[in-house]
Amino acid sequence: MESKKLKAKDLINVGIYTAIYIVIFFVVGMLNAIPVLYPFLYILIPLISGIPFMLFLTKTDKFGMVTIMSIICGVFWFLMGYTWTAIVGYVVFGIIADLVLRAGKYKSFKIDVIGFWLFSCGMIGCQAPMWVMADTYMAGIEQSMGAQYASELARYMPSWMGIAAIAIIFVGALLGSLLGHKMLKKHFERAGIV
Amino acid sequence: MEKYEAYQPPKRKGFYLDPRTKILFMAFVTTLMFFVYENLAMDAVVAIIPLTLLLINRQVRTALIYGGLFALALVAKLTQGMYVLPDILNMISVLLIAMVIRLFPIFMLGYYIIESTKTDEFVAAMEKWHIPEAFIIPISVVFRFIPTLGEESAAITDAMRMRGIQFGTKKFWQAPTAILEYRIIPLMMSVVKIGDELSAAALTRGLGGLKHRTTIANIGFTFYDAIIAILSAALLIWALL
Amino acid sequence: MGAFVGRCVFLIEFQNVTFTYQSTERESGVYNLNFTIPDGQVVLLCGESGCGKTTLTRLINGLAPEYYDGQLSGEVLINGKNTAKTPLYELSKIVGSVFQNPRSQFFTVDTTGEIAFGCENIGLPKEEIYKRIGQVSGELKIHKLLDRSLFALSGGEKQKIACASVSAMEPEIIVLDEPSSNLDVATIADLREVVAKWKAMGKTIIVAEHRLYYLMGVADRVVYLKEGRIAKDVSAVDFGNLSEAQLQKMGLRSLHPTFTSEIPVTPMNDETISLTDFRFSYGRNETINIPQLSIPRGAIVGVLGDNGAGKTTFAKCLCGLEKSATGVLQIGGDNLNAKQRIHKCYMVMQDVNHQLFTESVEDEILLSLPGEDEGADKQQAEKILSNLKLLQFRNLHPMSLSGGQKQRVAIGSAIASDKEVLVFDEPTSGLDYHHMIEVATNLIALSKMGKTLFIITHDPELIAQCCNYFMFIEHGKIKWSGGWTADNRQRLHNFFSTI
Repeated sequence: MESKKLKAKDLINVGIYTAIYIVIFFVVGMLNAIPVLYPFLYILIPLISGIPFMLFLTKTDKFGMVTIMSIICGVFWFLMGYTWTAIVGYVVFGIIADLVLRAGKYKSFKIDVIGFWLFSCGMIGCQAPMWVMADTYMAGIEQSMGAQYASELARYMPSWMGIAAIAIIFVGALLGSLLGHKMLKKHFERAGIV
Repeated sequence: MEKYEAYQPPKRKGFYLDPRTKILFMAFVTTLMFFVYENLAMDAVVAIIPLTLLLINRQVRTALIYGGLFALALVAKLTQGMYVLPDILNMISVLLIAMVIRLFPIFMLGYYIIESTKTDEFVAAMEKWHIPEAFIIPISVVFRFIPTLGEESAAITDAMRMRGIQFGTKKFWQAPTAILEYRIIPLMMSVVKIGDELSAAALTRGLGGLKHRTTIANIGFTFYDAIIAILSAALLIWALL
Repeated sequence: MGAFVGRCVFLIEFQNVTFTYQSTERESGVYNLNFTIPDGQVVLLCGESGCGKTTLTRLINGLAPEYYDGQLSGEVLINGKNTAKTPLYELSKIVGSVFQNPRSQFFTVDTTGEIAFGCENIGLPKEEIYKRIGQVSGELKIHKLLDRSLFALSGGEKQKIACASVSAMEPEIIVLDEPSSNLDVATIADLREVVAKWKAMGKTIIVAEHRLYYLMGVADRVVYLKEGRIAKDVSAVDFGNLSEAQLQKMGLRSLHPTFTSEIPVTPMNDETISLTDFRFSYGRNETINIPQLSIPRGAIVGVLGDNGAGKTTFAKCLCGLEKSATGVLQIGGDNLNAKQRIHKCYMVMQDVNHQLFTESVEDEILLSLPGEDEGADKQQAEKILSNLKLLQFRNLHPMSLSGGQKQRVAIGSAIASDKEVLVFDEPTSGLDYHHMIEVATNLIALSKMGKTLFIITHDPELIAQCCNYFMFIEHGKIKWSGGWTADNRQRLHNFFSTI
């Protein structure tokens, strides 16, 4: 019987793929500066991180790995200035994603897509202040980022975006999983790596 | 067998902050910048702290770049009413200025923390906070791996340039999405290989056997941590007033 | 002190051991091993690539079958303890391991933390670890390396830290898996010293290696594996009496590489290529300063020098990868600056995995062809592949090939993109005799095609096989250059006889 306890090897894998995810998020997240691109982030980040995440899932067979990855991401973004909602977003969605993925034993592609979608939803936490305390935040944005940025932001980031974000991320996650899945088949399996 | 003297960790000269102070201060500044937004003076003060820290840590170049841009943004913000720019330019400049003022202090602090703290100090701080190994191990790997990703990525960039795989070439226009694949796949291949070897090496050195490892890092609060604490308290009072 | 220090006998016993990998691991399995290694012996494991020597080391340090899944029958016993049933964590206190790749075996980011890493894992108190760090850095003479970033160290320095980290755990048995593969001449000498030191301390040492010469005089016993079985198990003295011809037949490297024997010097072109005013500085120490250097076109140039002398930086400048490097390469009437050189020069990297991009060997070649006429390209690709003996692999994924085959794919892509100058960074690191000869043959073939080759290498046998011109770099400057003259022969001899 395989032990359900996480081993050192699993934890090292968590670290490696968390590092990759953070780097991708950071590089793509630079687009954050331009509000028009906010919705695109929800497509782009899952799309690009789909490849490493699908690879990560081939190394995952125990509950906890995805959760730990999420928590580390959440804390990291908190320290980077995304406030506590980043932690809440990543922790909540991370645990749900891990539970869902476990139901598919981390090996069912359809469930992997759902799990990856939920995991990716964690990043809503990074923009969540917008809805949690929309008024003060918008006032704050207006003050510190200028009225124009705020209205710009409001135009592209209205409060129904919270719901819309989940849908947009789904599209991104679906594309990302498909791409990741394709790359696994095209490269990693043929190369004998997974 | 010959005996050698025990290792002496280098004496800390001058300014030193406990990693726990840095993390808590980061959390404090992040929260402060989130709730306080009508106070340009406070923005400036909050920016001066990490700037000073960077200078103390001799990251002069970083300090000059970030500090210069921040100062520029501040001047631009103060003189905003004095001139009229075309709409689109105005929007961009307002945007950029706001971003620099709001985010650069946090970036600077993040930069300082990453550069001034050794990984084992972070780990020691987490051990002191009784964070379980299940988090400490992956976090150590994240620190270890980010520079590795940079190195590997640079090597792949070189390889791509020598093969003429880049934006704008004829080959590129034939299959524009392939460039993402060429960039990411060799990187992932390396990462999988390095990761496997890293795990093997770590396991043969006993990783994962104990619930709580020991650590050789020396951390502890000093007079300097008190300064940061006082500064934080002052900022908090100012914000609440 | 630990429980094991009653200086009981640390006997390693293999009883009828057969191990085969379950996964797609490239290493071969081992079959019906029966032998014992007594306490304090230094055993050299050798054999051709894929003979199972790495697997044998993994059976001793417990990575097989705990980390590398597979079928194990029989027992590996250390002091009567079955390694397969002992957790790696427990085993790590008795068996220390040093691996091939210095870049992937460190876990922390700074040297002192790395040396302490193992001791922290087994829960030693801080003061004890400090004591041990002091002790090993004295023993291995690495005081200068303490408290530095691992990312700033050379491969050889990293390998020393890896040795120190293992040493600090004070294991009684140390296994080394091709530890010299990525090292230069000077650090190989240091490695020999480390092994000798461990031997003097009474440790049992098992080294799997291709490079044999540096262990002569230290090893007590040599075990030669062939296809997973022990084919020869002799004393080091008897092994040392084998002739070069016998060694070559066994696929083994030379025990006494020399440059005195008659070396086939290929006739050289009168036409030269020249480098003028190559200057580049990076950081504080790494500078390149070559006012003028002429090289026969089509030569196979051995680029020599110690680690950190600037060989790799020179190669990057030559290939146009350092944009800010000045200097002109004159070749066949063209004067090429850095930006233009990138189209004419190509580097086969030490880690060739970085330069393979596509999903099949054939695509990899096609990617470098002009892409205007598909039919012509296909024909051209076929020709290149067949010349490099790669035709049978054309549909396989490049990453599924062996190291040598991958290297040939990279060479193929360079030929396809019609590069004039090819640079090879350590093309034979970790290769056995036959594979080394294969590389030499390929290099000679490239030279016959008129390509000028620069080979960064620390492999005296490769040099004797194919180089016909040399440039020796020291502190970024050319100390000497030229062909196989009596003087240069002596210089080469001196450089490689540091050990």
